[in-house]
Amino acid sequence: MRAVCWTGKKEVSVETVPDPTIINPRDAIIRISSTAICGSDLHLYNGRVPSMQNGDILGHEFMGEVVEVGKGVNNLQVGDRVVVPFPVACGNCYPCSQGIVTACQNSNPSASRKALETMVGNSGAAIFGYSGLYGSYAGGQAEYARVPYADFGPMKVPDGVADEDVLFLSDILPTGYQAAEYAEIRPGDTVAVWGCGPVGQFAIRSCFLFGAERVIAIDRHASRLRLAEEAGAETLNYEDTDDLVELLKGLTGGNGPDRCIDAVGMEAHGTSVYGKMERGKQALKLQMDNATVLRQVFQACAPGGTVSVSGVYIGFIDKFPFGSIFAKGLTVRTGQCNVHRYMRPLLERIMKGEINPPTIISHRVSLDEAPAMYDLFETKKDTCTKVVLKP
Amino acid sequence: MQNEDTQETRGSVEIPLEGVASRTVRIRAEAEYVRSAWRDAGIPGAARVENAPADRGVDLRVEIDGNESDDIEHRLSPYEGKSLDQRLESALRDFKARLETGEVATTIGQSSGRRDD
Repeated sequence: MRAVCWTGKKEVSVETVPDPTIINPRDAIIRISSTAICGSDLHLYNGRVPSMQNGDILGHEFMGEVVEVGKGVNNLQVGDRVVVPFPVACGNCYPCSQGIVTACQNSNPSASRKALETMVGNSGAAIFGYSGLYGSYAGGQAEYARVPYADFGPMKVPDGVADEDVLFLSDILPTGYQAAEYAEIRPGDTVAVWGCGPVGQFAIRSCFLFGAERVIAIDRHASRLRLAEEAGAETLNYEDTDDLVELLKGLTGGNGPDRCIDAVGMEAHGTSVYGKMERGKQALKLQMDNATVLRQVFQACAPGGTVSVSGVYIGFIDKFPFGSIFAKGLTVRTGQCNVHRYMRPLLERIMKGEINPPTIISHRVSLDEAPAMYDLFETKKDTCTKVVLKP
Repeated sequence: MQNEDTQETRGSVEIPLEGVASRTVRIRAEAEYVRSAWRDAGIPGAARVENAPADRGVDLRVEIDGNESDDIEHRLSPYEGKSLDQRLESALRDFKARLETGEVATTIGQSSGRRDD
């Protein structure tokens, strides 16, 4: 089959690799009909995540048709259309039983997970196509994929629903929705959302579903800010100000936004002096993660407010201002998205027309065009919001 | 199509497994089922099974003395790790997975574009 493989920093290629096969009884094989490039795939592309190996198959947002099931899979049949959640989770361990599938204790078989356990205390669930740290499973930017624990993860798609309406239930729509849920929004709140990429866009739309009065969307790309505006947000281009935190306080009666969402993560751009220092420290390996946005959300958030972090962070940050969290009594909620528990409720919202996922798609291309799309997504964010690949 | 991440030390028996190691793992299963499965598992060591608080399964505590018998290396050879402690951890991880999920997660044999596969 053809698959998109990571071949080095800023290098991916479409290669012919062996077809996947059933290995464990609870596996299924999916013929992929639609798959997408995620913003977090760019962390791999940019070499920010350790333990990638030349030839690893990328991709954790995918859906398709079941073509084979293991003998332990009784709820799926050949021919079913399914969306596959990005966390690989067993459904049986204690965290899975509580809906915290991203803390699955059984799904990550990789020896590299121990590095993560040593570094941050826990390896968590595996993720399709996301390095040795997260299990080394082959990803879904391919013609076929092996899906472990297929009796627990994949969700059947009702007849007549288009791929583009449900593909993003695999990751970015639930991730944006969880970001808004974790922000603990109360009616009348003002929410600031850093990052108007795909997750940020869904977070903005979800904030309104949770009753936000105002959403202030922050980015530097005009097309992304326009999309946020179309969703009802006020917008700020952070390149137009020397002091984003003060600007936000000025827009909120001097208090700061009640709730702040970081939908950017460890590769924040940041054009201020502090932003450049963060990037410098990251380049010199004085810290793993660029904390430009994290510093801003904690500085800006109103006392007693909530900070929700959906952007990906891997490890260590230099001189992190924890005192800001303490002094203001902030609540912080974060973590990978527990996709499984949001898929059905969000499918219902899509069917009711409350959310329209295809609005964020900017490119629809064949699998062979993936290398060019990675480059475009990384370098031309103003013209590229979301790429869907059709194997 | 092997996966280096899961292969690196699994099955290697040249590593001397000395000293004493002890590990505890929480398993979401009934105590009697765990005891019975432990007897059949072939993993060396002295085991104790206790109910976990709040109906959250059982805590299985295992202690192995690496000097106790000659076949410890052989019996731990299917598990990854460079020391007795690591091999025990790996063995208990697989044991827990088998009881909770009916299988042990693996990427060995999966599709890949790695050149050395």
